Amino acid sequence: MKSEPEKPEPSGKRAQPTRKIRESAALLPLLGIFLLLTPLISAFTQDSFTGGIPKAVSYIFGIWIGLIVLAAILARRLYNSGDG
Amino acid sequence: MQSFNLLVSICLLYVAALFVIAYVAERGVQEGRLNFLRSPVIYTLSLSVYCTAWTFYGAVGSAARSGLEFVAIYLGPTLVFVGWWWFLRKLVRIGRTQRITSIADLLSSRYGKSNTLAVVVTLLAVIGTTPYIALQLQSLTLSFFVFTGGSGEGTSTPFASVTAFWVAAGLAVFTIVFGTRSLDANERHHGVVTAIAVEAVVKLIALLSVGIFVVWGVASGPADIFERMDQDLLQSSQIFNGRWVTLMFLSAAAIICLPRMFQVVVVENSNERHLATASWAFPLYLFLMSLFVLPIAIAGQSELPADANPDLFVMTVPLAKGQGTLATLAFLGGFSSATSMVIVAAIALSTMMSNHIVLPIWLQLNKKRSPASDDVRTLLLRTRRISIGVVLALGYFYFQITGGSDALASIGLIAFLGVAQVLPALLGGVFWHSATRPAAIMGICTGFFFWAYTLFLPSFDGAFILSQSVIENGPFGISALRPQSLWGNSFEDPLVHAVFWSISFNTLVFVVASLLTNPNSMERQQSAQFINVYGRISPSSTIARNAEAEELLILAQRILGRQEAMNLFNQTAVSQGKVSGLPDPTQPFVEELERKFAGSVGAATSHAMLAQITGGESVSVEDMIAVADETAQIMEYSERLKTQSEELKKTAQQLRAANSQLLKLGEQKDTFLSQVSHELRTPMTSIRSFSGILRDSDSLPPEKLKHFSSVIHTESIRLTRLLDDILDLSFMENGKVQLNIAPVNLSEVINRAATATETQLQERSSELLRNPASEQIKVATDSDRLAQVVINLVANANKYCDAEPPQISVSCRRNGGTVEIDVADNGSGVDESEVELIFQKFSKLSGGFFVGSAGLGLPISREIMRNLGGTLTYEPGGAGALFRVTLPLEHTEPASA
Repeated sequence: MKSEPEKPEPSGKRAQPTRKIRESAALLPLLGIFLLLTPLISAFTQDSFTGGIPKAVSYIFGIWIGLIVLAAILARRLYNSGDG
Repeated sequence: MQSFNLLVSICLLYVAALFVIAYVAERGVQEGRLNFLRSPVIYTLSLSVYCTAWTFYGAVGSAARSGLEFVAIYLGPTLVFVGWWWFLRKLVRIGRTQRITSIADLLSSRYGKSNTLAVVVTLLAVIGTTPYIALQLQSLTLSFFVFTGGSGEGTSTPFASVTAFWVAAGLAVFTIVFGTRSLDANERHHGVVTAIAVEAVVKLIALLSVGIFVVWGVASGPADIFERMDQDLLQSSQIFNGRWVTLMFLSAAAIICLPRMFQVVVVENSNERHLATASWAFPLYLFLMSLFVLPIAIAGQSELPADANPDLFVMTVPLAKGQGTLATLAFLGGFSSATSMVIVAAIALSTMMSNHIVLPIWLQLNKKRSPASDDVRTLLLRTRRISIGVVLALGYFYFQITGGSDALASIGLIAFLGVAQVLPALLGGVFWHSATRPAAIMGICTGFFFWAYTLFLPSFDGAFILSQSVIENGPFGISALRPQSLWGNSFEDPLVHAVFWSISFNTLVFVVASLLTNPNSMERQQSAQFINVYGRISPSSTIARNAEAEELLILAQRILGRQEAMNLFNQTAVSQGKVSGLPDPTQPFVEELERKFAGSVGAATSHAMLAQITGGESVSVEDMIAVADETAQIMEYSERLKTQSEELKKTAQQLRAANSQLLKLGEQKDTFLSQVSHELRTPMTSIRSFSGILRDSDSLPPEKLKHFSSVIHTESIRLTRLLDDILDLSFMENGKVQLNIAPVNLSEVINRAATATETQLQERSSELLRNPASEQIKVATDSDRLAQVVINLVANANKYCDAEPPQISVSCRRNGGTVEIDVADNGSGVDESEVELIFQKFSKLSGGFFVGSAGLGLPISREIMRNLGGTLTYEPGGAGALFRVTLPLEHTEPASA
């Protein structure tokens, strides 16, 4: 009895995030380009150190791993929603 | 220091292990076991062919020379993979649906299966890849020298060339054995891919090990390592410059366009979902590969003498610290990088060369013969093996000629830009409907020319084609044409200069030429298939081809192999509903065959072969006309549907109107019935009561008796008359009345009426005024019925005229083809609001007009006139009531009710 009224809900709910996720997946590289390929990068890469590591290194590698994590989350969501 | 022999033995053991892995993987997948080899992990690891020896060793060298710049080479691919949803997904989908075998095949297939384009791209790929293979050979020999105590400068010694030769030969054998085992329909090489995945792991472990050793073995942690850093190394305030953007662009383009990358990303992809995993896993791999690059470079700079080659820091740092095993591992990592790149590149190039150059030439030479008459399969495999040998030989000779020079060291980025020239045509092909084949060829050639002129040829420093003076002063001393600063434009960096000009001109020519030329029918078809690849549109199927099934079978056997061809044909025959024998060579079947063949020999060749058998191009003018006809038919059909639906709408409207009329009629009928029963009730009541009195009382005086029975008699007569009237009216309304049409003089009719109403008139001492002269009109009609109408009108006038004494006038008049009879009185007439009511059955007007009458006289008269083809109307505006009878001179059938 319980499963029946619940049935339409997931499909209706899923349609919304999938679209958002697809759009996010499409926009992620633009975010990467904005952070890595614009003069923005110079603002964060002055000659200084944080925790013994040059800021430039931590900035670039930080953005890099951030993109990877986001891509992994999105890929998983896309894969699970059957749209991979 | 390891001895040379030990090193060679390690290499041989390693290669032998790879052989075994590749063999086991190949067998396992064929037998359906080891399905994990099709997993996304293997796919991701195989993508690591991007990291060649040039990146394995060279990244550290680049970091030592120019700081963080090396990261751009990895960030470009990261952005492309993170954005897989945009482009790579579409590319892989196209590759799977169109059974693409190489980047040349993809472009040729998109641009109308053009072989010319395929040849251009193949040549470009060979020219761009050969130096790259040479670079791998150079890195390998260099790394050998590190262990054998050489300085790394002596790569042009005979010993070096012998080493390079054996390496090249060994790689050729490995590639031939595992790269050309079969003409697998999808050109997937599980053995090779698995071996490459293993090599990817070795690379990663080697570099991570050296990195960890450097950070925590040589130094005491990340902070310590960066403490040792030369302050000028990072130049971090200038990270963002033209070169940074250019390197990102180049590496992003390379990950798509490099033949070997295309091979692993698109051709070897067995499941689109693997791409989703690779979208983050491959960037992660690159991330890990570059994590320790900077520390190793810093360690090399601070620990080793100043003249040490930074390109070899990965090995020389552990060696200097006495870590022989670690250095050997690093050596194996470099060895893996070089071999995996060479193997995949050789497979990709050999596929292109055999499919797009050798096979078309062979087809051309054997134009007269059907391609089915020779064993294409054997020919293809042999061609591929020879091509692999040729590719490696080219690489080896290139290495021999330029070995050790700086020209080779910088060839990595130069090769990137070379193959990046296909990018505009590729992007245009996948996203732009108007991109055409001539434009693609012209764009690529333009880009190729600028690339060669501004970057490739100057890289030889005047040793090849362009002399030193031309490079410095321009051809014929024209400084505007100096290869490294065209039009006097001085970019700080020759690479940025070359990228800017070659890609700009390439794109410009491509776009302009696309706008100026028109795609042919095949291009249109293919562009639709490519651009709408997610839409699953099916190709048009109206194109007729005439082919013999036997010939097709023979050709299929030659290309696909006997067993697979038989299976395919049997399946098709069954799906066509045939119990035995060969399937009909229908269009869908031929198209399926073409796609299947394309998986082995490429789209252009496959198309050409089938065209040779089936005779002619796939799309002729007649076919187009047929398609157009079909469209016209569809349009006509839809037009018909539209009119039909309009008709239906009209009919429905009529039905609705009829229905409402029926409802009204039904209502009228009900009213009529209730009125009739009411009218019958009144006489019935008096008859019943009087007959009751007669029955019950025995002692009635005779005069009473007489009175009562006469009342019963009168009421019975009234009842009979009422029933007669109703019957009459019902007949009239149904048009069932029998008419005796005969010529008659109106005066006769009116005479009869006057006679019939004489007694009534006398009762009220009314006066009937006539005009005998006007009555002399002959009409063809039913005189009895007409007289009935006139009697009724006169009687009505006599009965209801409220003047004393009543005067009733009857006058006749001819009016064109009709005759009018007016019956008027001198009373007050009928109130205008009640005119319509008096013609209704059983009307009782408020003014007591019809009191005491059955009220059927006027309706019956009106029905009689309708049956006679005339009308009966009330004419308002006169002094008294005026009824006008209009009837035609000649009798005509009445309009139906």
